[in-house]
Parts: sequence; C-alpha cells; structure tokens
Amino acid sequence: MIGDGGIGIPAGAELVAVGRASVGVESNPGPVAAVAEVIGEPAAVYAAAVAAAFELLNRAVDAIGLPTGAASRRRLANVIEALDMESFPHAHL
Amino acid sequence: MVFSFADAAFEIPEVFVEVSRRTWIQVASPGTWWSGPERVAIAEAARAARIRKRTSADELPKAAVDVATMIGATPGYTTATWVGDMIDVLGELRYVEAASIASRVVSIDTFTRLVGSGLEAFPQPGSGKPSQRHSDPAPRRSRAWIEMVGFASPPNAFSAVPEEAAAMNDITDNFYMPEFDMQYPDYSRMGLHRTQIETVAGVTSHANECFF
Repeated sequence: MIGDGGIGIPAGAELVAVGRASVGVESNPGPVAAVAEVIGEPAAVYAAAVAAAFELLNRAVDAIGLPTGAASRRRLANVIEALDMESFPHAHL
Repeated sequence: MVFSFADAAFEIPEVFVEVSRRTWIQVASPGTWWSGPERVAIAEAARAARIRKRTSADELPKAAVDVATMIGATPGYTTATWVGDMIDVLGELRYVEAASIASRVVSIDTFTRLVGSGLEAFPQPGSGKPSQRHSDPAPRRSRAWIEMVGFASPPNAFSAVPEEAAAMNDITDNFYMPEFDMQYPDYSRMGLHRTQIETVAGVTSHANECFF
C-alpha cells in the first residue's frame, strides 16, 4: 500500500477496503458498514454497487483483450509505475 | 421473490434490486446463441469458479465451461491465443455471449456479498430457442481480440451480441453511472462524489489486475 491509506477524501480508506473486498469470496458487509459509519448507508451501498460494476467491466475488457491507448499510457505513466501495473498480464496489449 | 435482500445488512435502493432481478431473468432466458438451460449452466460455472467451488456442467461443451471459469475466476489471464482457441470451438458470438453471462453473474454476486446477502439462486431456465439475431450493423475487426460494433471501448465490449451489450450496460449505467455522466468530474450520486466513486473503481480494478 502506498502512504497511510487515507488518500485525502472522506471515507477514503474505507472505500479502498470495499474495492479490495470485491475480490473476496465470502459474504461480508464489514467494509461497506465501515463506509456507512463515515458517510452514510446510501453512499456505502452505492460503493458496493460500483465495486460490482467494475467486477463486470474488468471482465468485459479482459475477455476481449481491449488494449489501453498510447495517450492514456503516457498520461498515467506515473500511476502505472507507482502501482506496479506493468506486472499485470495485460500491461502490454 | 428473487433478490428480496431480506438478509442484507443494509437497505438496498430499489434501482439496485431491479437491476439484479432483470439480470437474473435475462441470464435464465433463451439468449441469442445459447439456450436458457445452457445460459444458467454457464452462470453456475462462472459462480463456482469465482468462489472456488467445483461444479459439473455436463450440458455444456468443455470450451464453454473453460470460458465461464476463466472469465469468472481469473479474467486478467486471458490471452489472444486462448480467446482464439475458444472461438475456434464455440464461434465468436457464442464466446461473447458466454463471457457476458459470466461477467454479469460475478458482478451481481459481488454486490450481494458486499451487502451481506447470500448468493441468489438462479431462476428456472426459460424454454425456447436462441434468437440467433445478428447485430446490425455487423461487427468489425477492432483493436481488441474480437469483432465489435462501434468504437473499441468498454461499453461496446460485447457489442457483437447486442442483447448482451444492452444487459451489460444496464448494470454499469445503474451500478456505476450512465455513460453520458462520465464527462462530469464533479458527478455525485447517493452521497458519493466522483472522486470517491473512482477510488472504489480503481482499487477494484487493481485487485483484479485489470490494466485497462
């Protein structure tokens, strides 16, 4: 993890935990409940929905081998390096 | 009634309930290239792979089970060769439909798990034949590994099978945001600001090793 996980936005650390929990296998409302404690239940449940949407979108782009454009790579070069994304299987599509 | 969310730890907004129900009905109905029973079998195989359980899928060709398993559990590890091999056996349109079903089932399952609900049983599959309706206009070779209709972008990922593209966008429009609203960096909904939304989106994608 980079930094202290706070990321400078309300419920930032808690939202990060929801994203990480999306790839789990058990039913576990704990991360979403933690978001609700900070910014309320509607926002927390919407965060769960966003995570679910990206479980779909990630699969869609990987199922078809959608490449990342060169302009995006240049714009996000620092982020790609900081998050070690060059190690991802589809980093060089 | 399917998706009552009675066991959820939170109150679930009606929009998320309705999308979940529509998805399940659509998955169990005859599709464009797969029958209702085949589609439910694909869904069950994807779910089982995702939660690391075994299942049998005797009614499916092995390649369809492979698609459901790969897309369900390890989507980041697809390769052009593997996709080509699956298409050689299934045909490109059946591949797209199977990948769409697997992707959407995992999405809805993820939502139910995160809100503390048990996984929802799939409906009885519908009878009837697949429509075999081709897209109009026809898909074309794209920058991706498969043919697509329109610009090569995530909303068009499954555009070679229009019904699957529509079903995918039903989830993303309602669970994430409508495509039109993506141009607004100050977008807010249900108390989440765009920065918070994209935090969840980015971390989920990183956890899936999704480079795009």
